Amino acid sequence: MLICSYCGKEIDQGQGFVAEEDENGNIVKAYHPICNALANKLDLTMWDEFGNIILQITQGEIVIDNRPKEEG
Amino acid sequence: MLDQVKDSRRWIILQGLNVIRGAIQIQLTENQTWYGDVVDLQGYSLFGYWVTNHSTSPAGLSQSGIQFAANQNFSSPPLPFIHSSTPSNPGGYAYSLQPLLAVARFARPYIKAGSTTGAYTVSMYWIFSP
Repeated sequence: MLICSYCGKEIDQGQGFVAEEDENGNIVKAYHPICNALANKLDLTMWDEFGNIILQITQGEIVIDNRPKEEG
Repeated sequence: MLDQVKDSRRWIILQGLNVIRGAIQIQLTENQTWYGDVVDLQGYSLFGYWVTNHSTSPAGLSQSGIQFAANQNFSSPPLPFIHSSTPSNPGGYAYSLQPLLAVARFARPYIKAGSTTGAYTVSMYWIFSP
């Protein structure tokens, strides 16, 4: 089971994640993709299937957030 | 907006095609790997994907492409049927557009950053079709 190094919640590996691995490919640290952008002040843009931006993070700051509320 | 799309011919076509697709633009720091949503390939094939490297310095991605596995967790270990096509140059792109038959049950897109310290910006989209 992977735990996000930023928010502390469990990572569902089927939903995508960011990993830092050792030389043998073992995961030593993992983040939700959004948490990785927030934690490391990075950019992230995600689109829905119609090309609309669901979420945009610029240098760790959320600038567009069209996620459904139930997804947090 | 979504309601307008759902009323449109485009929505009907998309539903009819019944494809699985996704798109992301992501920044990774050195030695990080992004893994996308796992796709259950039963009845589906990889139709294609496109990766663009937006980084200038550092720019050298380690790898990108599609991984395949027999189990949903990609453990023990993932099958060696990686379809990899990696743009290593700044502004470069790599793609696969030929339909690839599914030889494993599950697949997921992935991008591995390089080892040089810095932020790597990469965009990728992918399509699986019945």
